[in-house]
Amino acid sequence: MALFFCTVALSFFFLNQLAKLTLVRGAVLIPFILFLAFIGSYTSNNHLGDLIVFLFFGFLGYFMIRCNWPRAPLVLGFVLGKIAENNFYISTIRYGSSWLLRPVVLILVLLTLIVIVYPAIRLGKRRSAPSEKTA
Amino acid sequence: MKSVFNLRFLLALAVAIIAGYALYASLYWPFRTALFPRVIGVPLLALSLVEMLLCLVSAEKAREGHAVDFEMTMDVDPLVARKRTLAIFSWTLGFMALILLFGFTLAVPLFVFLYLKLAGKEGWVLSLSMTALSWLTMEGLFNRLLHLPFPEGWLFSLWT
Repeated sequence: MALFFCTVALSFFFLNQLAKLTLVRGAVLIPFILFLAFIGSYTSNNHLGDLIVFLFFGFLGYFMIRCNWPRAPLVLGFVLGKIAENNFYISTIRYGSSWLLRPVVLILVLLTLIVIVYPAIRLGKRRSAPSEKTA
Repeated sequence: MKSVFNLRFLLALAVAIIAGYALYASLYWPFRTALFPRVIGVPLLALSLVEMLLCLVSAEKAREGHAVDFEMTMDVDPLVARKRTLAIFSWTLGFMALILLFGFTLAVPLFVFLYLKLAGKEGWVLSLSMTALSWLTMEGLFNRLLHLPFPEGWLFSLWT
């Protein structure tokens, strides 16, 4: 915990200097970014196979950007996938399918639906607004 | 007329195939193993099919109001953008090849130098000092201080 606070404090201390990194030319930054990215992926398991996984997800990320697919849900899925799988199995074994009708689950489902439906409603309103103006 | 079989459609098709295969494979798995892949696979297959359908229906319409975390700049000539993309893809794959052939310790300074000289067209002083810095980081921090077990390059393992 102390290390965490030290890192945060140091980051704030050097914030101005760190922000100047954005002014460095891309050609100078790219080899170091690639170097650190390759090292980071290798050190996760100390296995060269992780470099192939790194390349695959790098290329996948590029194609997702090209297709306007947001990448955050994929990253969230990878981070939370194992936790979700374990707890999903425990809930199913303990309660069967009735866990779907528990109040907290219903509230979460409702919130999810709002998150999905709200942008569509907003888009519909935005599209209808100019047509009303022209009419 | 723009083809409906664009990149967006092909990506959705690839995801649909993966989801379909996962669902098919999970038919033979025990309940505990198959539960989560099935629960994830069904909506994934449905959503990727919907995405494919949307591509077919509105192939020429740009999507509006969608949430993306990053968008590419549109003010660069597509030919230049394609060249740059191919170049960075090639450099990334080349770096991977260097790591496999020479190992991390040699590949990192070699890559930094080659990139700065060939792609960045930087001067000798900057290129050599950055190469030295990358070698120091590699050798001093990762090898000596952190003792990371970097594998030998394939070329060196042939000789030993």
